[in-house]
This record gives sequence, structure tokens and C-alpha cells, in this order.
Amino acid sequence: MANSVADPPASSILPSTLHVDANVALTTPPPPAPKPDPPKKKHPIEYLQALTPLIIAAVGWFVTDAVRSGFERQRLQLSNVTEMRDLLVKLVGPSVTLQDAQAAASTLSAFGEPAVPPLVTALAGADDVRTPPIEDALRAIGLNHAQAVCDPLLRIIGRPTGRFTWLLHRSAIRVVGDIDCPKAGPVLQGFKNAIANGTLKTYDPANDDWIVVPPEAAQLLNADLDRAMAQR
Amino acid sequence: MKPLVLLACALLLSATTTAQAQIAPCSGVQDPGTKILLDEIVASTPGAANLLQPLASRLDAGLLQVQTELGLDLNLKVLPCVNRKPTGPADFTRSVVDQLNVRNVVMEVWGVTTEVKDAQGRAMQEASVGYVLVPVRLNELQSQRPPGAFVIPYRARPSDPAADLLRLVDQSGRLAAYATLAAGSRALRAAQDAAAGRRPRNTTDDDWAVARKRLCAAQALFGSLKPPAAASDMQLTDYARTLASQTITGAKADQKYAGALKLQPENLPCPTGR
Repeated sequence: MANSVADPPASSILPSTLHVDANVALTTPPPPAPKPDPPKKKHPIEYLQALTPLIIAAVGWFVTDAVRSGFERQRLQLSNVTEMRDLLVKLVGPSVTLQDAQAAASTLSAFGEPAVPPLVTALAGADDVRTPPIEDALRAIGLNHAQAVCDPLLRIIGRPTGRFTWLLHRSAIRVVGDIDCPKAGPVLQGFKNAIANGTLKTYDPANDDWIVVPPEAAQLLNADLDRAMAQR
Repeated sequence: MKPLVLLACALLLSATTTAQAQIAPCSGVQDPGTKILLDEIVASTPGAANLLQPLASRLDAGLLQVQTELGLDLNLKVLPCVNRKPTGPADFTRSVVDQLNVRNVVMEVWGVTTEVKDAQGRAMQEASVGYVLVPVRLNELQSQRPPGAFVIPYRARPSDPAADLLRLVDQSGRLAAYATLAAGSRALRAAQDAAAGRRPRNTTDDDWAVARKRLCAAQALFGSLKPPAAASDMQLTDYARTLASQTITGAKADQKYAGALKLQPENLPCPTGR
């Protein structure tokens, strides 16, 4: 071992000289490695800058998609209106037959929610030929889109002082009774109470005035209300 | 092969008939008041459709006369319905009849007429006239008792087109008998519903007595029809008699009723004669 030194013996008989066979090299220690700088904390803006292209791409995609969806929705609505128009003309036209009315109303129900407002409007003036097909169409839509059908019909039932005849109220009660309208209970009960109290009036289009519901009409309304409420 | 051809012809005919079924809207059906719908009479005579309005007026006058004679107040109005052409009783389903009932339609009449030659080569008018008695049809659909919708065949020598049509539709006073029965049946139903508390009681009129008066009048009108009586007429006469007796039974059972019928024997027959 070049740099090993034997331990001095414990005794006092030591030689006067001590030859050490060793090489001594003078070396300078390497300069200490520079301490690495602590990692600099990035400013949030830098992150933002890095993410900017991604953000722009996402926002652009979102906006484009929203705009495109909006346009498409409008185009679809316009297309629905155009396509429903002929069917509505046939349904409310003077020369419709029962079979035509059934076919037109049934096709209109295939449009789903967009067909509800025109069907409700058509129901308001419907006669003996048009009423059953329109009720059927609303029933068909309501089975899939209950809310879309329930809202307008419950508003009609809940507002006896509107320009709605008792025949429209009857149809509305019949349809609401057949589909799952969650808020129908209190509205139907209110209507039933109004009949029982004798306070219910109905719109008479011939006089543009409200008249007391005739007894036979009250009886028919009550029968349909009972059926509708029994299903809740 | 021959049966197949016949079957094909029958199917084609049935398809054509279905395609021609036209229950079209009738203006005025939404108006208040009790109504009889007079549908377009499909006639081989040209311009028969133009006779619909005068025919309705003449029927109105005829019904008014019968009501005056019998002391009835049916307050009926005959509405002409252009383009409304039912094909048969089967068109009057529960849904169709219900819609007519809620609009105070008591009866609907339709007809088809053609000119044919008899064995001697003389021109004859052959027709089928259909009647729907709405309240009776509603009962029929529930209990299948009397016929509420039926077709009566008709054959006569043609004369004046308007007179022919009137004769065709009225058929020796049948129209008045049917209308009175329909109105009586409706009145009886109203009295029964009021007694059961399903509708408010009529405070001005005696519902039971009104119903009985109409049903007895209908019975008398059926009795005065010229023979031969149609099978449906005989069934309807029995039906009118049954309903008339129900008025006394109902009145006696009605605890809030204090009218004259309460004191009558249950088997009291209707007075005979018009």
C-alpha cells in the first residue's frame, strides 16, 4: 500500500530513521462543481402562452360547433315548418276527411316536439272529425316527450278563463290523463273543484264571452277528470 | 281460378268502398243546440247535391209539424253536410259517435241512390238510406242491444227529384220516429244521471216526465209507420217501450224526485195513438 503507514510499536526501541517507501504526489483537488441553479419558477403567463394554441383550438372548435349547431337547429326548424305546413293545411282545411285527418295528424306526430304547438292550436278549433286524430297525435308525442305536451295542455286546463271552449278542456284532460304529466294532479283537482263549486265557466265563441258550463258538459268533463285522476 | 278472380274482385270492391268512405267535417256541427246531420245523398241524378239545402229545410218543416202535433219540444235543427258521405254503419265507431254526442248531434242520415230498370223496362229509383241514432248507437256499442246504426233499402218510381229525395230520407215518417226516439233516449239518460248525482238536476223541467213523453211519442210514431216494417223498426219499437217503462222505474227509485211519475204503476203502458 503506497500510503499506508505502520503503527508505531508500543515499545521504545524505535529505529532512528524510518524509511518510507512511498510516492507522494501533489495534486490539486478539482474545483468544486458549480452548484446547479435552483429551477426557476415559471410565471403563469408562460404556461398560458404555452397552452394558447390549445386553448384557441378548443375555443374555436366549441364556438364553431355551437354556431354550426345553432344554424343546423334553425335550418331543421325551418325545414320542419315547411314540411309540417302541407300536413297542417290538410288537417285544418275544409275538405279533409276522417281518413286524411288521421293520416296527417299521425305523420305530424312523427316530428315530435316541434309539432306540439301547431297541433294544440289545431285542437282549439277542431270539430268531430279532427279532434280524435289530433288527440291521438298529441298522445303519441307525449309518450316520448311528455313535458312538451304536458306544459301547454296543463296551462290550458289551469286557465279556465282563457279563450278555450269546454271541448278543448275536455280534450286536454283526456290527453293529460293518458300520458305521464308529473304536475297534473293539482291542476286537475283545481278544475274538478271549480266544476263542483259551479264556478267553472267556458268560452262561447259565438258570443265571444264566457258562460256557465252546461250540465251535460260538466258531466262529461267530470267523467274524463275522474278517469285522468284515477291513472295518477 | 274462378274463385280467385271472384275473391280479387271482392277485395277490389271492398278497397274501393273503403277509399270512398268520407266522413268529412260538417259546418255548423259546433253550433249550440240539438242537431240532425243530413249528409250528401249520393245520387245518380245530376245536381242532387244542390238539393241538399232545400231538402234540409223541408225536413226541418216536417219535424216541426210532427212536434206541434205531438206537443213535443225537441228543438231540433237539420244541418245539411255537403261532401260528408259515410259508407255504412261501421264508420260510426265509438270515437266518431262520442264526438257527435258531445256536440249535441242526435242523429245522422246518409244515402245512396241509383236509377235502375224494372222487369218491364220502367225506370225505378233504388236507394239505401242509412241512419245513426247517436244515443242509441252509444248504448249499442256498450251493450249491443238495439241497432243504433242501420241501412234501409228503398225502391220507388222516380218523379220529381226533390220530392224523391224527401221521400227517400223521410221514408213515410221514419225520420220523425227516429229523431223522437233519439231525443227521448237522451232525456232518459240525463234524468238517470241527475238521479245518480252525476250531473246537476234540471230545476225547470221534470226530466223523467220529459223523457217519458218523448219515448211514448216515438212509440206512437213507430206504430203509425206504413207496413212493411223494417226489422230494425220492430227492434226500435221494443226499445222505445222498454225505455218508456224505465222512466217510471227510475222516477220511483229517485229519492229526490217528487213529480207525477212517482205515483204511476211501473207497468203503465204509453197511451196509444198519435
